[in-house]
Amino acid sequence: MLTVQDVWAGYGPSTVLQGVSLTLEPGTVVALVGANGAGKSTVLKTLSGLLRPQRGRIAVDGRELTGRPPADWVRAGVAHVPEGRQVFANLTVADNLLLGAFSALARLGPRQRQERVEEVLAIFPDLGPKLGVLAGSLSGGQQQMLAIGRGLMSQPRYLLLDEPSLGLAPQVTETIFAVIGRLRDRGVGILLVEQNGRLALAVADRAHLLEKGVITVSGTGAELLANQTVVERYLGVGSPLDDGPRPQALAERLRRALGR
Amino acid sequence: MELVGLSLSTGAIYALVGLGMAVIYQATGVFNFAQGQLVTVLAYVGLSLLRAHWPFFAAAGLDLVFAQGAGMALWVLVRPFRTRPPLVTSMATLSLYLVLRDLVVPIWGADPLVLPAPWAHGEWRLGGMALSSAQGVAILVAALVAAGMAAFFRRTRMGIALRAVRDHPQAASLMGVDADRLGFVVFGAATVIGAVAGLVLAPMTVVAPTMMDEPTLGAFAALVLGGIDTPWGVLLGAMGLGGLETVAGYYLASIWKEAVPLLAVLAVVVIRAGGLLGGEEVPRA
Repeated sequence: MLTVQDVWAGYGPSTVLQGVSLTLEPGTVVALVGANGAGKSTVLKTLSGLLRPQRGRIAVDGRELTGRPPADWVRAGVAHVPEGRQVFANLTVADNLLLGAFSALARLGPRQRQERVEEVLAIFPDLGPKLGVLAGSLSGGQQQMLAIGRGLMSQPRYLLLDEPSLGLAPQVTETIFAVIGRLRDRGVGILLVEQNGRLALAVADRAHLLEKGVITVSGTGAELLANQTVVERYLGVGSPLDDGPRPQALAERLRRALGR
Repeated sequence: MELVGLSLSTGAIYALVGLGMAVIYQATGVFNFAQGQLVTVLAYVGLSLLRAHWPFFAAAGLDLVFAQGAGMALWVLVRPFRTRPPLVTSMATLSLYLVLRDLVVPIWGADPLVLPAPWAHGEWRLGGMALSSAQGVAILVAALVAAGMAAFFRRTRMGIALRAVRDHPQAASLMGVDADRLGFVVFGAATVIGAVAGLVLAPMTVVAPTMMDEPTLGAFAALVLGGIDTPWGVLLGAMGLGGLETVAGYYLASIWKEAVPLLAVLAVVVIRAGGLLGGEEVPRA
């Protein structure tokens, strides 16, 4: 279990997170929704060692990792797929994948490396024919698949996904969310940060609404979808954050596909 | 035909200095002007060991070990400037060049000295081309170092990780790549290349405090000409520049020998901003 206890964090003198607590269990999807600037990405950064919390504790499977460098978090089984994909544009797809297993590469033989690559290709078959291509030349959807695939190369027990559907066509979003469901079924714990709130809540086992660095509403995904505050402040009809009818239909299909 | 040998061996000098600079630039984005002067210092260290009656290859080996240590120490010095603008880091390494040059004189004196390599006297004949063996060794070693570097950045775990850091430092750290620690590897490797350069170049000329002043400028121009982001580009640029210089020196008055090649480099860069083999860098997101 990944446990976050009363974490305060920020950049320089400013404090973004003001006492965030949550837990992520293996085999579950936890969604973190909220407006831009609420601190969703900041939560993920403290969970992968990119950002040192000012206060609070974070433990992975009982081991406290607060303030440790990113390499320690990867080794502990946490993979962070950052916002904006951040694939290595000048490297081939194959090299991008290999780097995902960087912390383990020294002890992996060529066969084991190959096995891990093949596991990722089984999840994202679209990447297969692209292994020798520079990652920068992939489409946005393929780059997102590569970013997630690269994260999976470390065989994480906890996967942190930052805006995986951002800027993607609906059918690609569907593929990505189907993969999220499959990974959950295999026992991976997934912390999902999404601007597409309805979609995230539709697939989440648990969900939290983050407002100005504080979790204001928690519950199951369905509970948050039905919650008056969440709908009004964040999913409200007619607000700029309204997802529109199309993603709602998509969310409905996904919910059925995932057996929710 | 002597012109070919002279072109290639002049190019080899630029390549060996330039490749050391390119390793560091590729990995850290720091432009290390001090590389040239490190070559000089390491040639002096090798020379001192020889004068203490060490057998040549033992002295050379110890010189390389010393270089590795010096490179790691250099990273400790340069590291605080790493995130500064290139203007600041260039200034820092240029200052280091001058400081090292001034340190050489009180230790080894200002007079030129001879480094007696086993291959210093001899001649190679290839077809109609005659080369001194010192020139031949320099050309071979330059090509080997370029090939080794290309393989390092393409094939090894660390080389690929270094390219990833250049692309996306934050994503690389999320993969568990520790850029700070790799800096030691990079600076160590670059200085070892510098030591090799010193041992290979000194037999072609002499060991002197200012021996690398002109080659440093040449290496810099070669990097611009060939493209700093590929070892083969560096080699090609160096050989091209060596050729231009040799031809200019042969047909034109000697005062043009240095100016004409540099003007030619500028002309190439106007057409291809990244150099002959250098790609356009994909901008960072």
